[in-house]
Amino acid sequence: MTMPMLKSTKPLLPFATILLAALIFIADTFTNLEVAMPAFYTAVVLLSVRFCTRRGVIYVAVGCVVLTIVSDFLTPGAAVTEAGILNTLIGIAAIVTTALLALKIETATAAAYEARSQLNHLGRVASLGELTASIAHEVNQPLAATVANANACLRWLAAEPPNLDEARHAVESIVKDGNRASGIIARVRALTQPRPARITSVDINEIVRETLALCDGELKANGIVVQARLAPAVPRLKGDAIQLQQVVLNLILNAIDAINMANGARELVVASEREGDSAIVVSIEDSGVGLKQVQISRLFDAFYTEKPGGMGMGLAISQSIVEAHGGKIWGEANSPRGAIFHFRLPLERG
Amino acid sequence: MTIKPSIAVVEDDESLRDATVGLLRSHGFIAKGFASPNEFLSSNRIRITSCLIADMRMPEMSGLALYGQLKAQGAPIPTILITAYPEEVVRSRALAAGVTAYLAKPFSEQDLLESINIAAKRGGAQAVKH
Repeated sequence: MTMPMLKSTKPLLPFATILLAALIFIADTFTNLEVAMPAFYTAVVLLSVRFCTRRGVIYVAVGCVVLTIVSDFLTPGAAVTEAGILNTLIGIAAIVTTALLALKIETATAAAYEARSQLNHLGRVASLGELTASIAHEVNQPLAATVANANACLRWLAAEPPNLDEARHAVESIVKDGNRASGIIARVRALTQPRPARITSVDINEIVRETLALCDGELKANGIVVQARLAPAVPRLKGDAIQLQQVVLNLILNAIDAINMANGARELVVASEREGDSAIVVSIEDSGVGLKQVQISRLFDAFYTEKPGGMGMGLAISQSIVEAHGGKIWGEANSPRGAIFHFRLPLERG
Repeated sequence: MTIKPSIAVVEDDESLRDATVGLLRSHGFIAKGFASPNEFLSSNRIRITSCLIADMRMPEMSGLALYGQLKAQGAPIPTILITAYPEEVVRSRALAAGVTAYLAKPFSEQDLLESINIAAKRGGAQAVKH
């Protein structure tokens, strides 16, 4: 099949649409009402948009026009009246206009969807890249000054006789730049620290579903098949919905990156499971490059990353969020390949 | 007998500018700092500067743009670019444009001195040519 006409869907809708077309055809052929019966074919066209590709919609519209004309010839005792021709023309105009508008809206929607998913992606990449560049720039300035001053100081001390005034001046500058660098680190920490938590009663499954919806474009763009195995009816827990969503989002985005770094299966499983009455565990399994033992021990260290261009902040922040919720986050190797990350959140007692 | 070249340091970060000038002076160079490309361009030091050390990222223009402007003015001072965020693409572009060296911050004393040496030789070659 070169050009699919149908989107994958439940078969009910196409059958209903064909049935509707048949009913309109019968009504148009065997009644002689003073109405433009063919105009009702517009409903058929509108329904077809739901399950047909662009090409399919065009065929449906053409089919409706053909049915309208055929019906005119089949109408018993058809005296070709002026009103009859007018009705047919109105009907055809309605069908064609509807098809054109429907296709236009479909195109616009697809473009908007595409633009949004690109924007999400670009935004993420750009902000991380910019943040890395600006931190590198900020921290390297005082470091460069410190190295230069230390070298100068050594030179002044090695001179015959040693130039102590210059050496002292260089060391004072080193102290100043050391403090400046630590000030920059403090600012970065403040920047990456989660905002004050807003604790409400949250449904972790809901958070997982919302996050998956958020990543839908990214997952599809990367050709990744997602399975959600969510525990039925999990109790609500106390937490900050946005922070927890950040954790899930981070784990999913990491999984996408890991899958892209490997050349194998492209599968992601997101699961939630109840641990008795005490806790809920959320797991994100990928088929990506996986984890080595040495990596597992450092995964949650700030600035530790396996990704080219990565910041090494995502898992560190995720850990601080999960721990602030009284929970625990950990990662392990998946079998036969890939990684699994879990986080456990305690349920309220009593 | 070689005359130690006079070096201009164009760097908007005051403490790094002072540190670099200090390091150069500790090696016996004559060095002067400039807070911006325009401050250097409008100074009367261009003629006597035999080596330029310029930061890559500055508000008015990049170090590479400063080098380009000097070249366009007929004063292609051998230039060492320093950057806190080295990028391979920029490095090759800078070297292709005729820049002597492209050093990542924090740069080592040795790299800086070697680059100044190369710059001095280039400057000498140019002096012969003109």
